[in-house]
Formats: sequence, structure tokens, C-alpha cells
Amino acid sequence: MTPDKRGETVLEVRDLHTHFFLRRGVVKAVDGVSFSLRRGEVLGLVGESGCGKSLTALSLMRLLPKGGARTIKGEVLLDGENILECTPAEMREIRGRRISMVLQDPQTSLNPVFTIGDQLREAILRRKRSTRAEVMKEAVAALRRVEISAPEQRIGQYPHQMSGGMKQRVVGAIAISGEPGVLIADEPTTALDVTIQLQYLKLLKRLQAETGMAILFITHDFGVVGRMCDRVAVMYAGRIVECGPVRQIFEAPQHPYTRALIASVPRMSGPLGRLTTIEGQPPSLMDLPVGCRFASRCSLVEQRCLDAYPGTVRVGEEHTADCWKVAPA
Amino acid sequence: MALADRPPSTDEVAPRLSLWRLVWPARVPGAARRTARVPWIPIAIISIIVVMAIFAPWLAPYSPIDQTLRDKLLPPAWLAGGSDKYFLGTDAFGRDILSRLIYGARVSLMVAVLALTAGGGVGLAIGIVAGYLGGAVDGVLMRLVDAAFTFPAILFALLLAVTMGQGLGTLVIAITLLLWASFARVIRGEVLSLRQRDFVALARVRGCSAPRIMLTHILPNVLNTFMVLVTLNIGVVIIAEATLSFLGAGIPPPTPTWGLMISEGRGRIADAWWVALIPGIAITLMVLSVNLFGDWLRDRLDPRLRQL
Amino acid sequence: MSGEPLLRVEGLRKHFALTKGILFARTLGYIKAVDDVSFEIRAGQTLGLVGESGCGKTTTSRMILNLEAPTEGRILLEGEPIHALEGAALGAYRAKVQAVFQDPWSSLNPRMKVGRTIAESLIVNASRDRGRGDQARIDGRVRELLLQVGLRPEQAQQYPHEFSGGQRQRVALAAALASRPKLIVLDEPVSALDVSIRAQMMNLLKDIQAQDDVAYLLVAHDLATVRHMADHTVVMYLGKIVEQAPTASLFEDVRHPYTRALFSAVLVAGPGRQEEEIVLKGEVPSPLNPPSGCHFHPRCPWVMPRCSQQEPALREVSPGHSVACHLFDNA
Repeated sequence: MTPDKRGETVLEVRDLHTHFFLRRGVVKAVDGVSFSLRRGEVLGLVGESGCGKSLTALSLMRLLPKGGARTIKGEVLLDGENILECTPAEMREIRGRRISMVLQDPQTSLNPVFTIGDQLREAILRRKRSTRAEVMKEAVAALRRVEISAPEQRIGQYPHQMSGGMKQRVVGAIAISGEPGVLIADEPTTALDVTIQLQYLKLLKRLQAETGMAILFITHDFGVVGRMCDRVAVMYAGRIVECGPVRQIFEAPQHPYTRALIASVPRMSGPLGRLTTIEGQPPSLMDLPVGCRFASRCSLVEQRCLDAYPGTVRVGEEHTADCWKVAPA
Repeated sequence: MALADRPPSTDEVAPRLSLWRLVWPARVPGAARRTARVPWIPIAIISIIVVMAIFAPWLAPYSPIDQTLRDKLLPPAWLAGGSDKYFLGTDAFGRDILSRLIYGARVSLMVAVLALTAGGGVGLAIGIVAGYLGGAVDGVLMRLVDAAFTFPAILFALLLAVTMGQGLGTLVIAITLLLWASFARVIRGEVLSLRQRDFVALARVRGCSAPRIMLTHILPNVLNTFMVLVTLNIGVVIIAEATLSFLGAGIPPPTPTWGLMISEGRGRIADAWWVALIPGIAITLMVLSVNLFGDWLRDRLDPRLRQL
Repeated sequence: MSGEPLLRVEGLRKHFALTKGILFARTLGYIKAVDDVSFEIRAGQTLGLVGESGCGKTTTSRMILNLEAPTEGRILLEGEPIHALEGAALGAYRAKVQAVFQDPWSSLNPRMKVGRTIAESLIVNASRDRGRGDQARIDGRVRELLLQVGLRPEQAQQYPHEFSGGQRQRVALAAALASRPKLIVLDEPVSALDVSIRAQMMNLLKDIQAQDDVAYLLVAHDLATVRHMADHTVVMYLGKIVEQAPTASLFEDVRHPYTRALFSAVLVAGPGRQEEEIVLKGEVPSPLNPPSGCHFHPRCPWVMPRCSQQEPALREVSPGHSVACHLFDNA
């Protein structure tokens, strides 16, 4: 699916902690997340609701919701420099230009009272000053690039005149207009129909091949991971519990949570029986256990799982899992 | 599409204690959240006034209508010329301002309660019916609401006073007619969006009739909005009562109402300012407290109502 | 498999008129949300209704729930038409046909205790029978239902916000089961839930079907879910049925180009691709102005000249398996 390209590391996240400080306690939503992203690759970040994946993305962009959420520890190295230490002005320069984001809901990602052309123009003008005619030409080119038909007419349209799939493409066009090195896509196809989703994913792959940008693809859907991603990191209760090449993770998942998650998805072929489920609930992020966070729901649990959090074990080529029971490579 | 379970609500970290913050609760910037501080001073003021109103006969040092002409126009006790007998001074008829203030609270609050119950109740019912049933019913009712808004309310109240005679009843009717339309409109808006929620469709699927749905499903969900509207309109009612009494269309003298007291003291602002100013301050404090309390209540119950 | 199916839908159409103006309304056009749909559901079985947004599956399900009246066509429950039912007959119908909707947050009245929500159809039916239902009986049934869906009986006193998404869907299911319905319309019952919770919910739905012999109309866009739960499947596009078959037959032998694109678009949770991918061009056309002939022809990879001229009819290509496509005209 993707050439075995060894690009240089463009984004490196080290031990990121983002907590919500509430009156009744501290919610450790992102609690020690580390990963790296290389040029030209797609890293999937998978997990269920509440695991902290969206907040990780927001922490990288430093767009945390106001009131209580703070990144208290860790480093985010974009091309080697730690962007957590940038000033707000510097951060504004970085957002959109070097690191950009696409969100889930196409309805609310675009401003309903401005035309598509206006919104594209705003993004284009950030990069350089141009005459109106040139900006319009660029805008049409940007729309054509994301495979929107009749772009000259679309420029003058308003978001409500477009379908969800088309809106997501416009959002994508705006996001890549600054030619960022890193694109964060937070569940961009979750709200789209499946056939439209396929179109969009192919488009994204094509754009990536053209620009060489790295993509952090956040999703809960393993099918999308299989189609889009080169590597995948599985998140649970604020931490990454397994990370590795997609093929390895699907063929031989090591962490019990990953295994259970993959097993619980209904299949398009094979025997029809009761689906595997995971009993219990994830732990409260305000009251995390001292040991492994999946222990209370794990079928392989032992005493040491409850006593201490397992370290990150290397289980294969670039494949790690946080579990006491896996065999190190 | 996997919807995330609601993220934790994010109250602000406990703010520094400050007197200002007690009166004006800190409005935390950002997404919907519970307000930080209970507004104690407004609540205290409201409580004092309510207590004054309920226990007026026991609290007031004098009768509010007894005239003692030789003691007329005495300034408040702490000023030169004042007397310890009359703490807040007397008016042109020698009546004790403090006692009139206390009894006046009673009248003002009674008018407020009656008018809000009637006007609020009518507005609530019409809003729910119009919002839920839609169609022609909604059309007709909303035209009535529009008509009510175009009415010159104060003039109409005066007209009522002239034809039906001054009194508590007339006053309550006049203020009710002022209020019901704005309640109806806001509630209707809320109902229109409630109607789209799945649980309403499911109630129909389970066999609920329209009246049952309006009563058991719609009404409990608009009560928050309703209560907020009530608290925010108390100030409107008090000022309306004061205005009408001032204009001579409210409760006839000698029954003290704050508005009437201002009216009576109007001519003497220069030399006997306390006659008009003291009831004026009382009205201001009451309305301000009620509004602050209403804001806090609204934020506590549902931050989405911030636009009210 | 005896006689009369539980539910039969015949020639169902729903047209929404677009009008302009208030007093003297002009009709601008019609949105043919549902355009000649027929199928049946047998007692105790599940029919999957599959399609993407705008295909008409939700509108169809709403007509079956008697929330909308059809413009044309008939819906028959146990042989009796449901159109223009009123009073006691409507009440009886409502007791037999219930629903669970997609959004767990919007499906429960936030100001009503969960036990009261579950008891709703019992209370409504009781009042219709002039108060024959007593509180103890209703409470007992609520307890029973909570246990059946895997919740604890004392949770009847709790409010919806105290439950998670998956638990709320269980409550919604318990409420639907209260009147012992024969048919439950499930409109995307698991798509708003987390992956691991979906599995629990699907297992529960199948268990209940086995226990109570209740039929399901499963409206879904996810083929894997449908494969797991439905005995028969109907695929819709822009208001029309393009293919219908027993689920096993559909999965073994996909015929219609749109269905094949749909299958192709289902991303399997595994590395690599199996068959060649069919990526459709363009978007779903506006239902106000559907393409001539076969509605799918502008996007079809195997389009022929005939497709834009004549609408294909649903023809059986193998036992129980019908397709509406000119490619199979001579099957």
C-alpha cells in the first residue's frame, strides 16, 4: 500500500501530559503519550471515546479548550524545535503553515456566512500578499486539487449549498493551502457515507503522495486504519498501549486491549456467532489505578498487573506494547 | 459514528476570594460551565425584602398611613434636623418613610407574584401549545403575540385604570398583559427545538397523545427556561408597578407602594429628597439583586440560555 | 415459514412537496424520498434496510412507525392496513410496533426517570383501558425489562445523565420491549456507540430476538452489522430498491453495481485490500432532480445507453434475490 519510505522524523512527541484541573479533581486525559511521525507516513491514533486521542491532537496544536486544561509536561518537537515553548504569536505562524488540522464535523468546520472563495482566500492570503485575481486563481486551483468539480462556480457558493463530502474536501483544501509538513486529521470521515469516505481517503492518500506531508490520522475505525495508515498507535485511558506497523498489529496484536478491540468488530466474512465483547468500563480518568489501566477488564490479568504499570516492551521491529505478559523481541 | 461520552465539565480552578466576586459571580470564559460563586449579597438583599414584606405588621414601627402632620418632612435620623423616632424620615403627611417602605415591599411583591403567575402561566401554556402543535394553531397564536407586542402597554394600563378603576386587580391584569407575550415567544422557541428530539418522536411511537406529550415531556424540559424568565422579569414587573403607580394608574393612595412614594416625593426633590430617593434606592437594589440572582440561576440551570 | 408475513409494505411512496410562498403557495417540485418500495418481514426475523444518506430508509421506517403518512402505497401489519387507524386500533398498533433510534443522548427525556420512560407504553395503554394497570404490575414489568437488557432494577430511579451511551441504548431498548411488540424498528441502533459497546448491544439484540420472537427492521449503513443481524437485506438508493435478497445470498453473490460499490467501500479491519476497489464518481444527486432512467446511471462504472432512458425493474436473478439493473435484464 505505501512504499517503504524512511523519511526523517518531522514530529516527535515525548511524554506528553495534558490534564484538566477541576475543582473536584484532576482529569488525566493525556497521561504520558510519546510517538514520532515521519515525513510521508500516516500514523493512526486509534481508541474509543474518552481515551484522549482528540485531546492529544489539540495539545499538539496548542488549541486546548479554555478553562482547566493544561499541558503540564512533555515536549512536542516539530522539525526539532519544541513548540510547547513557543509564544502565542509564534504558534499562530506555525498553525496552518507547518502543522494543520482537519476536524470531524463538516457542518461546523466552515463558516456559514462566508462563501467558499472567501474562506479559501483567507487561508491563501496568510501565506503571501497577492492581487485578488491571483488569489482567486489559486483558490480555484486548490479546489481542483481536491477533486471538486466545476470549481469556478463553487467559489461563489456557500457551505450550505454543498454536501458533507464536498465540505470536507474544502476543509482539506484550506488545511493544505499552507503546505504544512504535518496534517492532523481528527476523525475526518466519521460523519460521511461509506462511499464518500472511500473517495475522501483516496484523495488524502494522493495529496500525501504529492506533498510528502506526514499525517496523524485519528479514528475509532480499524477498517480506516487498515486502508490509510502505515503505523498505528492504540490509546487507552490516556496512554498509548500498543504501537507498530499496521500489518503487524492486525496479524499479531500483542496488547490484550488491542486484541479484544479487533475481535469485537463484526466481520464481512467468516463464521457468524456471538461477537467478542469487553466487559466492564474504562477507569475514571480522575482516579486512575496505579497498575495497568486495562487490568480490571483483562482476561489475562495477574497480580503484577495490578501492582505496577508495565513498561513499554519492544515486541518487534518498531512494534511496542505496554503489557507485562508480552514477550520481548 | 461514535459520539464521545460527554467530556468532564470544566469548572475553573477556585478563584481568589474577593468582595466584588461575591456580588458579581466570576463569569469563566470558554465553553458552557457551572458558575463559580453563589451571589450571596443579592440573595441577602432579596431575603431581607421578602422578610420585610411577609412580616410587615411586626417590623414596621408605625402604621404606614397614620399622618402626624406636625412631624412632616423630617429628614432621616442621621442628618441634621432628623429625629430618632423616624429612622428614615417622614413625608409630606408626616408618615414614617421606613414603615411605608416596609409595607410598600408587601404590595410590590404581591403584585409581582400575581402578575408573574398569571402572565408567566399564560405565556408558558401558549408557548408550549403553539410550539408543539405548529401549523395553523401556531400561526394564530403568534399573530396574537405580535399584536400584544405592538400594544402601547403603559397607555393600555392607564386605559384600564380609567375604565375599571384603580386597584390591585386592574394593576395585575395590566402587567399580565405586558408579560405573557414575551414568555410565549421564548418558550415557543425552546419547544420548537425540543420537538425535534428523538424522545418526543418515541413518545408518539409509544402511543402518547399530543396533550400527554406536552404535559409530561415538553413542560418539564422548558421549566428551566421558565424559571429563568420569571426571575429575569421580576425586575420588569416591579418597575412596571412603580411606573403605573407613579402615573396614578396603580394602587390608589394611601396604600403605600414604592412607585407611589416616588411620585409623592417628586415635587420635593430639592428640599426633601429622601421622600423620593429612598424608595428609589429600594427599587434599584431589589431589581439589581433579582437580576444578578437570575443570571446566576440561569447559568446554574443551563448555560445554553445565556442569550436570554 | 407459514402464511402471512408480519409486516408487508406494498408500493410505498412518499413525496414531499417543495412550496414557495405563504398564502398562495406554489409547488416548486417534489422530493421523492421513497419511490415505490415493497418488502415483507416475517415474524421473528430481521430485515436489514441498507443505504447511504438520502436513500429513503429513514423515511420508510417512519412511515412504518406511523409517524408519517405515505403518499401512496400500503403498509399491512398482520394483514391489516395501518393507514387511517385511530383510537383503540391505533393504540393496539402502537403496542405492536416500537422503535429504537440512533442517538442515545436524544432518545431519553432528560427530566424523566429511566423507569418512568420504560413504563411509558404500559402507562399509556393502561389509561386507555380505563386504569386497569396498577402501579405494582407496572413496576414489576419495569424491573423485569431492566434485567432483560442487562441493567440493575434499582437503576429505574436514576436519570439518563447518570448512564453511559451504551447503557442509554439499553434503556431505550427496554422501553421498546415494554408493550411486548411484534416488530421493533431499529434505526442505526449501534452507530453512535463505541466499538466495544456495539458488540455488546448486537449480542443483546440477538438474544432478545431469540427470547421474545420479535422481528426487527434494522436500518443501517454498515454492511458488517447487517450481515451479523439480518436474515434478509434490502439495498436502497435515492428512494428506490436496487437489490434485495436473503443476506447470505447477497453477500455471496452481489449483483447491483451500487451494492458492489457499497461492499467495496466497507473497509475491513485488516491490512491490505482483497478485491479491486470501486470508487464512485461524484456525489449522490439531489432527490429533487433525480437522473432519468436508472437513478444510479451517472455514477455507475458499467453504465450502458439504455440506463439513462429506461428505469430498470426489480427482477429475480436467483431464489429470493432480486436486482433492478439492466445488466441483468436477461438473467
